[in-house]
Amino acid sequence: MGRDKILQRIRSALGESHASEHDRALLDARMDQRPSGPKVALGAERMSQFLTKVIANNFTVERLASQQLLVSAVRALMPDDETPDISVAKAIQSLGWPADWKINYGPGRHVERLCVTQALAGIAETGSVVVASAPDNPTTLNFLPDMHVIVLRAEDVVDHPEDVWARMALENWPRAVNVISGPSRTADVGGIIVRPAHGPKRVHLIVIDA
Amino acid sequence: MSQPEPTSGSSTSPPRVALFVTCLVDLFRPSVGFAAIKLLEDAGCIVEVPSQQVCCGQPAYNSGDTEAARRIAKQVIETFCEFDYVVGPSGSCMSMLRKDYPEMLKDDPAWSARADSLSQRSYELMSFLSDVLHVRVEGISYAGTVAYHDSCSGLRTLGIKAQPRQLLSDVAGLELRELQDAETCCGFGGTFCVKYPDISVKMVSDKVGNIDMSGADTVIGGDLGCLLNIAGRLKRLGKTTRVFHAAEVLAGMAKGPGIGEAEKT
Amino acid sequence: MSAQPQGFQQRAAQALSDENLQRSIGSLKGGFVAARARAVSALPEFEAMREAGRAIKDHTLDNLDYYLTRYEAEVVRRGGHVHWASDAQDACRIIRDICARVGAKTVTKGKSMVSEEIGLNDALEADGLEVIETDAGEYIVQLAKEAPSHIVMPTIHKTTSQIASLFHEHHRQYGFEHHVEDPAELIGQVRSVLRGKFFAADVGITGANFLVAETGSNVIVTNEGNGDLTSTLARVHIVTAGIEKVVPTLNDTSVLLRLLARSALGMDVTSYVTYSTGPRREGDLDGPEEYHVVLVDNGRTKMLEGAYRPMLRCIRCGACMNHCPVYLSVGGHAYGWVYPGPMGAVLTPMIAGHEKAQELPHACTLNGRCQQVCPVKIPLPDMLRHLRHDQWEEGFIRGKARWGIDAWAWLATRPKLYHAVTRTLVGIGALLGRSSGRFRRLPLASGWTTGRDMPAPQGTTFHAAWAKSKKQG
Repeated sequence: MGRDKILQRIRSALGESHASEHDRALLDARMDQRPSGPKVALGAERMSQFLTKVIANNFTVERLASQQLLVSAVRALMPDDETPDISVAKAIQSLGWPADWKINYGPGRHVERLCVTQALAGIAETGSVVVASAPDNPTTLNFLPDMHVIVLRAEDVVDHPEDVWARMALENWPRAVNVISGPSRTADVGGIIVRPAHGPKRVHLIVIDA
Repeated sequence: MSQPEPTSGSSTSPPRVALFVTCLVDLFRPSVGFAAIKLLEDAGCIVEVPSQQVCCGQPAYNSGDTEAARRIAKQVIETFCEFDYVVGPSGSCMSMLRKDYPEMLKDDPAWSARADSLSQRSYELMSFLSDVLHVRVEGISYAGTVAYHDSCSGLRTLGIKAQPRQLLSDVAGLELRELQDAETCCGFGGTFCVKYPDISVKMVSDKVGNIDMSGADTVIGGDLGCLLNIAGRLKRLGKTTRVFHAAEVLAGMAKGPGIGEAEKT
Repeated sequence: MSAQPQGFQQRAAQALSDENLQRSIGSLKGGFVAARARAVSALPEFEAMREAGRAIKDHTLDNLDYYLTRYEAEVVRRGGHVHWASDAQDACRIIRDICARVGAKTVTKGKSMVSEEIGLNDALEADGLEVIETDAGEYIVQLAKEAPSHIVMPTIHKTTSQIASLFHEHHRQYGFEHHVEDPAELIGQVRSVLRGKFFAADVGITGANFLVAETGSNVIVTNEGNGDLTSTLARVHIVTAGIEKVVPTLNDTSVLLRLLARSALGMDVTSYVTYSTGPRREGDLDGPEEYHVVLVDNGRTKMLEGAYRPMLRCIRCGACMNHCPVYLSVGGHAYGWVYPGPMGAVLTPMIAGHEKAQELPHACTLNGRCQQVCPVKIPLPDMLRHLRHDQWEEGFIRGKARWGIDAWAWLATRPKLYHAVTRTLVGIGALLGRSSGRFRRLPLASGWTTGRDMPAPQGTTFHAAWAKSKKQG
């Protein structure tokens, strides 16, 4: 109905010649080749540029030698909480979280002080972190908390977004891929930048070196 | 003015240049035309002024009457086709000849090649002096602090930015000042200035504000449309800032009344 | 919203005398314009990127049927639904039907220009739905019952104290009793009020900066995170997008995103770029149960036909308006519809029709700054001139404007007569103007002389003087 009418209008606007078999083969080939355009040259070695950029993007960052140190690092982020009440992605459930903490392994709740999710990649060009949805990595944990803690393995830092796409299988492309480059902000009142708007006020990146 | 370097090694005969006078120079400020002729002749050109010329057709083209613009374009091509170069003291009119004629006649087999040929030989005055003839100004002086106004067509269509500044830098006693928001339109815009006077006046007021802020006592530009607009606003505000076309200053002919000034009695 | 593009002149006059507005839009110059200039000058690759962006969009538009059907197949394969809407009414009907079928009461919305274009909020509210804009700026203009005045900064026309009063009036019901003027506190109220709405929403509607044929994803770019809460927490996610939003691959989005953030905000990146693909997967703990895309034509296939195809490259960054001296003089509301500034002056007549937007293509000096900053190199002045041509051909230009040009063109093709007439007129003008060198008033030229003097002619025409000097020569 609408579909056929619109496609017909498009074809007649483009003229008769455009959609030959030959052209379709070329277009199929372009889809397979996924050509990439000009990128922004990195100004420094990959990890050092990545860290410089994420800090410029107003992340807070710490590096840990091992995943085993994660729980104490998160504990240090909430020194005044006697019994931390946080949400953690199941992807990092098995890290020995204290039994006396209140930990939600479900989707994000209405009020979230702190949520921890697992990153898929870091991008040095822009100082961004890529978080993909999965049953063990719910998307809402990225957006609901006051403080979002992202766990990233150092080896997952790449130069450009194109490098992230190249590593991902299109067949299993996740439902949500969030490229996060800082805390939530807005300048819609008086042009003044305010953090946060709807999402986290603080994004804390934990880079695991081993 | 020093002799230009020859434009091509083999040819020694001086170029035959037709002056494209432009309507506004014809009507409001003939002295700009005479200044242009002096500059070109001093640079070794043989200058002629075809009397059949009228207008480049821009008012019709920009108003949507493309057919009338084409008629006028053909008349211009016919009038100027035999010269080595066509040179005019306006970035706006010369953009028509350089960029718009080939575009508006591209589907006309009888005229397309002729439009292209004229386009390649058409130049705005200062870019011709600077880019083609490589002249250096000598023995010319102007005592004043000057803000150069970049007109939009010249700047963006023809890439005229460095040339006038370079030419003016050799004028003795002339101190150049850069305007804030130099690349912002002055609000002239051909028929825009009378169709949307409120907006146009707001824009030229911003421009005049920047001129004031620069501390310049003179505004110079390469397009009479902008200059009439700027001078008109300066005069309305009672400012004493003087306004000249760049050709007048470069030719040492900025001695009489500036644009919008009374003749001295 | 309904188009009111007529009356540009009056709205412009109001805007010029509105001091608050003048101050607000003046701040764009120091803000976005300066930031963009810094971002661009820091990037030697920027021109190559513009060219690559243009090429990607042109390639996609030249093969639009191929990419739309590829995109559609991917959406469907991943469990989503694609709807095709010929016009605004069609698009609204499709979305109303979805809302009715799922028994929706509350609809949250991320920023979507196309939803404004099709008048979606009015249509949904007429069905009794509660519709809440969640972008802070869009929320503010919705509360104020206004339209956005800028496509990236919808509230650029509003002062902080105007927003403070608005919130004081509307947020009492949520327990915010005191009048506050601190931007952080005001945004804090928005966060608190809307958090509940996100969770209550049955349907979440977002736009799309891009649609990716390769994966069937829609891409949204925000700084607030509202788009993600809208698309993730509602039971049903509906994406509204113009058919020109599709691009072939993820790599293509990366090229265009580099251009978008720099051109829109002067930044390398925004806080969030999200690729959403289909509904909740098996085992997922969150995400929508249904995922719909409404592809909107609404005049776009007409633009595809020829002269206006380059306009479909537009990635809605707002750089053209930020750099437009007319927009910076009168602001966005003067343009009378959803899309302001140079891109609006092209899109409004193309979508809403010439008869509703006759003035817009003329309200431009053709200075070319917009084209210079456009990240996908749209020749906006040429588009505007072409619209003037269409209007001329279709007889929309009448009266003084038409016969003035006609008469002048007639004279301009008769050189002898032209020179005789101008010689006489200039002679009179010079005589009258000689004493002061200028005119403060002129018959038939009040447009000029309301704010400017008219410099007087020097004495005679150039051609007369030249002929005389040759004779004496």
